[in-house]
Amino acid sequence: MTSVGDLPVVFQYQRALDEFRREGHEPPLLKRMSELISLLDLTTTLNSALSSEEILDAALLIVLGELQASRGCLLVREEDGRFGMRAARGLPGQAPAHAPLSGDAPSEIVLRESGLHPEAFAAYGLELLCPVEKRGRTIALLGLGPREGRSYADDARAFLRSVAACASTPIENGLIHRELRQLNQRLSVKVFQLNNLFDISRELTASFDEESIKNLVTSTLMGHLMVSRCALYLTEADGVSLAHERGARSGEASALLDPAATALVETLRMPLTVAELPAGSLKDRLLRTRMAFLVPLRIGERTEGFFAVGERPSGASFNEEDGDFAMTLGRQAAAAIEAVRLHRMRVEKQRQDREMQIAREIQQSLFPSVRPSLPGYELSALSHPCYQVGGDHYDFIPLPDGRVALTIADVSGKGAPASILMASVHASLRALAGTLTPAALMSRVNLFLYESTQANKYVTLFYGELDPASRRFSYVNAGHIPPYHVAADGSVSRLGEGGPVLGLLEDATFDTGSIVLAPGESVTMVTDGVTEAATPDGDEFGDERVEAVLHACAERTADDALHSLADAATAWAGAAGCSDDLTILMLKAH
Amino acid sequence: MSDLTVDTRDVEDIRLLYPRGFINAHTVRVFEHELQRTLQEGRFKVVVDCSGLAYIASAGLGAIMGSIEEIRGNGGDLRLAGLNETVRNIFEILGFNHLYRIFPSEAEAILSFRQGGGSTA
Repeated sequence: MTSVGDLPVVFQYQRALDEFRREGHEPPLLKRMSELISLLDLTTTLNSALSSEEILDAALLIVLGELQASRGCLLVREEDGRFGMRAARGLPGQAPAHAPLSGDAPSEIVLRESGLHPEAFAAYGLELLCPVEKRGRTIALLGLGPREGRSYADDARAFLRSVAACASTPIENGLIHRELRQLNQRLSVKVFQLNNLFDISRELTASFDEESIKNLVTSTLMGHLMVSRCALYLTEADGVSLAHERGARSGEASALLDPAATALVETLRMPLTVAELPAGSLKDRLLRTRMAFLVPLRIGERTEGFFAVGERPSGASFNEEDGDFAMTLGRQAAAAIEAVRLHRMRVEKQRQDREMQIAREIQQSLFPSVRPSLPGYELSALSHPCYQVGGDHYDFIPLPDGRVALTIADVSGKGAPASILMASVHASLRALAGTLTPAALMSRVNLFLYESTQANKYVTLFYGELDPASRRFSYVNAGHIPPYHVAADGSVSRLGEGGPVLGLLEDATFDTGSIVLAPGESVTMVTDGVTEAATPDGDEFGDERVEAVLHACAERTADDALHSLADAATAWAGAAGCSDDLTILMLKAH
Repeated sequence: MSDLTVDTRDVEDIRLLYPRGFINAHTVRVFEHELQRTLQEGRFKVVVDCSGLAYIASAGLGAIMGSIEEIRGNGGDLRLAGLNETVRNIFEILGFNHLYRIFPSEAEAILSFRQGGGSTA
């Protein structure tokens, strides 16, 4: 059993009051005592270790009990100056969470019948509003409904003033405490934001995959802003497109460039709500996918795209801090995506360079390493590769009984595919040269290339066989620039006999042409790197200039003439530089 | 050594996820992968038991946010259990606790599905 001594002080006084009542003391005295006991109870409660909500609730109950009122509420001033309901008993349904007060809050006890603040009295069904003041400012309002069969006479109002005086300090402490808690919470959010930004920036700098970056930044944004959907629009080479979607998907990601989004990116500098967008297709789509907030992705002074952030399930709107966080995240995302794209370009460039290097090595390996000895003749060749590996090729093939085959070719395309095709041509000519007439040889090579290459790949080729003893030069020209036959007097004729380019037509036929190379005469074979060498204005070197150089060099050695021709073509192109491989092959009879 | 492992267990039609370690920008894909797999398998009653979870960054919360529409759209829910103080604080700071039902223990979260409670907290 609990002894009397262990009971709270209030109960001890309550028992004393019961005794006084039994002893027949005056009712006004008993009432006064009862009020004092209630105030004691109130101050004990207000200074207890309970939470502020519990304290306010208990305080309200004590007042309702003492004054025998069945309805009441405690409204506490908030940061924005409104009075929010913090404790309530017996209020009508639909009681507003904030007191509808027009003008200043009362600084004196106000009764309903005074006609002041009618909205507040009506909203909660009150009879009386009692201010709780601290340093001359109303920090809370105690509202009370009708008393059982009594009015709020002077003595009740005096009691309420005492209640207000007791309650003011604890309520103010509660307000300060709440403010501190809110500040603390805002600080915690900031710390969490910074942790996230640090965490994500470390991850982004280590990431080389655009998809992971998009996933990570959208996840972080959704988690931080508490939204269940998010889309990312990014600037691509030719406009802005929907690059990534999270949460419920519209399925339109990466589908199309969006001209409206492209136009928006031109002007988007700061976060914007979708509601603020001008009417149009983009706004329609964003509203259809329930997007609410747009945040630009900025790199320096450029906008590289934007986040579209979904509505908040909580219904909360987006504030400046949300925008700041999203902008910071957007900057990191844009920088990371740009880094990945630059890296990818660099890797692609390296791959191409490597391929070019291999192609060049193949091409170089196919040029003949020795000139066959041809008494009474002079044989000279040069090939200048351009910055890109083209498909030029030449070869000397010694044949039985002292004859020699000469060939020059130009393969369509560039790079590794061209050099591989060239290697096939080289090998088939080496295998077949001398076994067939030039025309029959060309038919075989044509058929082989037709069957083994893609439809759009072809080769132009000139093939000639010199019999040094008879001075006869038999040739076939498969679509190549006709070589220049220069007579001793410098006059030029062309060697065009043959057929079409190799590899395009299955049943192409070829004819063999033939000349006799008298002493002092020469045959010069070129590729289009010579004839099509062009000035910056696009003027080509052309046949006539080739012929003029050869004419002028008729008396000179093959080596001299060859280099004169190469120099003239290169000088012609001048600042334009080369645009294709340049190859020249010259055979001169003495 | 990975910063995060995610074990799973099924109790009847309820999928339990046990993230252990840190869900941050680096590890979030592991967690998200398990979540996606759960949905692909048509399991929409999900309990994330956070008792082994030391920390969760926004990216992890985003992974949950990104799947919740699909989960609830299929009549399911994602509920959380066993949050340590750090994780609970993060949830409260961001208001996550208003969007998800959070239980002291995994057993209570499982029980809540059996009793057929609604999806919102």
